[in-house]
Amino acid sequence: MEEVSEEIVEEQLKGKTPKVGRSLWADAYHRLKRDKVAVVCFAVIVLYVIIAIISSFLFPNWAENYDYEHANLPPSWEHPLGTDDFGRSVLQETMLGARTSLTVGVMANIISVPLGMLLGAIAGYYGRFIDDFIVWLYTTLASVPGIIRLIAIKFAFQDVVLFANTPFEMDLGGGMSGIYIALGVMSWVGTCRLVRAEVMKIRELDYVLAAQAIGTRRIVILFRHIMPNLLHIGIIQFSLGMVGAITAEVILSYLGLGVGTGVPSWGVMISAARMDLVVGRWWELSSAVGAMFIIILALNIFGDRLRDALDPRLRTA
Amino acid sequence: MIEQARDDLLVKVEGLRTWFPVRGCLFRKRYVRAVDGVSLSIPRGKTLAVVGESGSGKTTLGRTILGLIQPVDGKVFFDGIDIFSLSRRQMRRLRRRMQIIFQDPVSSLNPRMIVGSIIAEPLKVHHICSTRRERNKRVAELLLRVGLEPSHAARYPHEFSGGQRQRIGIARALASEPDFIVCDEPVSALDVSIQAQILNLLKDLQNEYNLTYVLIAHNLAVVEHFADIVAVMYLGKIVELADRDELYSNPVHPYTASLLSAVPRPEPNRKRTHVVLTGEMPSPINPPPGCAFHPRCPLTRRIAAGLSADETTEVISQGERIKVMKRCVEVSPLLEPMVDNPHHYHACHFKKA
Repeated sequence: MEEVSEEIVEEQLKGKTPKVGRSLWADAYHRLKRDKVAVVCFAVIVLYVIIAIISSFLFPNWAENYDYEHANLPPSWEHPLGTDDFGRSVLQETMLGARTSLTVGVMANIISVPLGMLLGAIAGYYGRFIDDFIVWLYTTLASVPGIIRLIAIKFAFQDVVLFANTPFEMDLGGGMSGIYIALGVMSWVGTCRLVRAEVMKIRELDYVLAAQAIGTRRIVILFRHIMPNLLHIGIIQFSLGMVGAITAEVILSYLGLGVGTGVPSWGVMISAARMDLVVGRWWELSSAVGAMFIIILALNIFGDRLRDALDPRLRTA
Repeated sequence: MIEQARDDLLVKVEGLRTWFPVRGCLFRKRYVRAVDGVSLSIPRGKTLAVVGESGSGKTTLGRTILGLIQPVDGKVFFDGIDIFSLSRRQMRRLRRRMQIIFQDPVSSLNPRMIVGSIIAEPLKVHHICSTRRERNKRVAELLLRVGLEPSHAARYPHEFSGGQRQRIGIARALASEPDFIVCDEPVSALDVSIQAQILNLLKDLQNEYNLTYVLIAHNLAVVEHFADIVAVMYLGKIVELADRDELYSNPVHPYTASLLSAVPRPEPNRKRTHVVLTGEMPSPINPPPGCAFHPRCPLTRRIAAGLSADETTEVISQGERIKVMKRCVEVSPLLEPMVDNPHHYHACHFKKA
């Protein structure tokens, strides 16, 4: 074999090659950047995140700001979205509600997406009884309607406090953590199904066989060759799963099973305002619904565009 | 040339059977008999070509020889070692010496890995280069050897053409310095102009490193200038096995003859007799009894045509009643050497007159 000059190797080590390859990720990023709708949706999502972060610093005492003299005021310059039964600002409540929604959405998916991907990949790759068990697990879970599952697990969480008396204290019965853990543990089924099917497809591809022929260990094949080709599914599932988690939180809070009283939430707002509409007080309901509508629309469209950008089948070879 | 090498065998396959279970009727397990009783041996430094139509079990044979698929029966000896008796750990170590090149240059490279890491993987798995620097140097050497640039290491597979990707696959197979490479239709997916380049590269590498190849192909044209020994497969069995020159000049089995007549020849004046086979290969789940080739065999029909009913029988092939020899339906022919040439094996009841 002919010797390679030191310079070439040197050049390579420093990464100063004439043209560095463009990964599929970089490709997807470029495609997404060109997509104006996706950029707008992403901007909306970022805006919500900023609002969620700053609102708790801006209005830390919102829940105690009772002002019965100014209760139930319609929108005005002083109160842009009016006030509620207790005279608290609806605008502030809506902004704080974004914090609840996004926290629940992100945390639930941080639990459910990796869980679903891991279980799906293991089921699809190892097959046999491991597959049978995982499929049994998720079909059993999926046979119970989602909302009933959530209600059941919320009841099971009553009075459960994890890591009591530590900075990580989690009140599963009343706080936000109960909701996102319940959602996370319950909503991995879709991701698991998708990933399992995809792994069964990838496992038969030649590059997996090549890795086997080289002598790579099975576990290394799973994490080095198969998982990176599934990551895009995880990202898409995360962005679309946010929508599910946000809606679920609103529904649970509306039913009184969500975040406890005193925690601002769009679901609680809708629940509190349901009697208001008949007497003509529309602002609390519409603020909550409007805020929810915009973020869900943005997440949905962004999720779809993300899928288009990441889908390897759209790649021109 | 082959005579001397015959004793120095690198790979020896004995009675290999690879069956895949398929869903059958209740309580009855059915199998696809992809490889059904194959025995062969490959001398060191030589090329054995396996030829046959799609579905004849060539790819499965290649993968079973490498231990990538477990057979239901039979043995594979690699340099005297029975590979199916090894533990996983021992098998992994042996994999350094045997490699595979795939047909599809698109699916054989992981799209999320840069070429450098694809080629470096065997080096890492077998701890061949200890430092990253050494590894990069080795990758650069391999890329140059297969006709690519060292700078290509930083790129992704989708940035290359089919022929270039095939070269990357070859570089990966070469990385661990193997003795034996199974080339699974290495040029079938490429343009004709690129095919010759890749075949020449494989040939050069063979001479340089004394490699032993199994070359899987679906036509005899590719094989002609490359193989030392040719095995013709039909429905999971070898029907003819001979040195290349012998097989090309003196094909005995009617299936080989029909494959040979399909090879295009640049001699316009030569009279050609096309032996066109009717129909498709039968299902390997339920192969025909006796000689699996009898429903399509032109020879048995020709012989049966002039004979009485006690030597012949009628079968239905492609919805058509044909008269064939009774022996072809009742007795499965064995792969036996010819009387005048002990290195020419064939599995047909009727030798060419």
